[in-house]
Amino acid sequence: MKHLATFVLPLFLIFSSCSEVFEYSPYDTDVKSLGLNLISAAKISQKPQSETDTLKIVVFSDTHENYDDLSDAIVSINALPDIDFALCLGDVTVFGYVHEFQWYIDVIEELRYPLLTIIGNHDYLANGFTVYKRLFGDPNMSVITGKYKFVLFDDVIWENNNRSPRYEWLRDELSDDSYHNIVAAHIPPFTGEIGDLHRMVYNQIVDSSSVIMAMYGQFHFYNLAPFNGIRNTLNVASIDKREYCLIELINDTAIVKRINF
Amino acid sequence: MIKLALAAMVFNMISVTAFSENTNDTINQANKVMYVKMQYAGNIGLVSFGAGYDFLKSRISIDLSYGNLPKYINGVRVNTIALKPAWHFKPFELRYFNTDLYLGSSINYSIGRNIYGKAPNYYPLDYVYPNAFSFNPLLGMRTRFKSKDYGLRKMSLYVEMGTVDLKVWYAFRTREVTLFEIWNLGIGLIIHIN
Repeated sequence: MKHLATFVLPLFLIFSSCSEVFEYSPYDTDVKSLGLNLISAAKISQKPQSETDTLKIVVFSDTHENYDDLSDAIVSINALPDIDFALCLGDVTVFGYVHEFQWYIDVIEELRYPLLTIIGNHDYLANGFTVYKRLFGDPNMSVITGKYKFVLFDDVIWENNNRSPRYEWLRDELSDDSYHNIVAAHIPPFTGEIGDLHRMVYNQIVDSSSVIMAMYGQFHFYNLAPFNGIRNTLNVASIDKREYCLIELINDTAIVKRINF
Repeated sequence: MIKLALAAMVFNMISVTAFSENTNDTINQANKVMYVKMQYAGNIGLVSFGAGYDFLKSRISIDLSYGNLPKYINGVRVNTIALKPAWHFKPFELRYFNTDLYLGSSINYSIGRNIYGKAPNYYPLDYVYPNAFSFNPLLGMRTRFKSKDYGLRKMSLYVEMGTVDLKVWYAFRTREVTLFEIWNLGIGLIIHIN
């Protein structure tokens, strides 16, 4: 009986709790299509326009393998009143593995506000792009709520086999000046990962004439400074710094607060 | 349902093993035995094929396999080469079977989209770590028929409980991932050549 208890019971418990009994590869993409960003976008857009002269959103970024910090952040965000939605600025994995995405989703399921997740360069690795598209939807998308249009832009180049981002789509999305446009992407245009030519094209499209605020991840530290004429160009710290940003939008003004948890 | 059935199967197999008599060195008296194998799942593709040797009276084995995850399964194709050394630490003799438990690690090299052994040359130096290699610790059980029939006598079945290095790292690093949820199974057939 001693052998039985030593060998069998732990094995039985293990396989009762495993998510998948058979796995073919850590690079597999065995996930259902959930369209989480589309579901969140529908909730965000449903809010009546008269209520959205001002918006309060929470932004965090670069969660990577720091699920415990993310979990603590979710508890902190849930305690905030009247948040319209939350935005994650990408890099929710380290290696783009399907399990990393699943663990991220396990944590963010606890968030009581709608959440939009942008794709980051790490999320492209392995077959991460395929997994991301199934879980969240197209990485380029816009969400309109009241006077505001949030344009989520996939600006990853190197991990996307050196392909160009969809600048034409971005230009079209920002061409309508009846909204206060806000651009969110993972890689800031002022880094080396965006080459000179890409930077020139991006800066021509995303400038102060079309955009009131731009926000990025990737750098892992906080910064708020003007760039390319855009008064509020925000870099959000990685979640392991145990901070996120609370942004209040009032007409074309943005008030950014750093919140530590 | 399949999960419960497999858990019950593992439960049964290990139960029998735990109560059986230990008969060291009875499995194979030869020092070096070649085998070929076919495996389903276990982190090296949908199906993998390989060949290897048992050494030191079947206490040590090492094999090399090629596995493929075809695109029609989940929309991506992954090719994997796996080198799997193992230490067969607990041989048992059951009524109709020679069985052993083994510990090992599969060292995998995979080829697929955005899987790098060496980063593309447009990346700066040290920009990304190569992600094509993985180390997959495993615990397995192999059982060989004791039969007068020559064909059956040359066959073994095995089941392996394995994981991936990254999952182990996460299990120790974060409370969101537990050691209980990182394991999966591979099953296979071995044909002993000599």
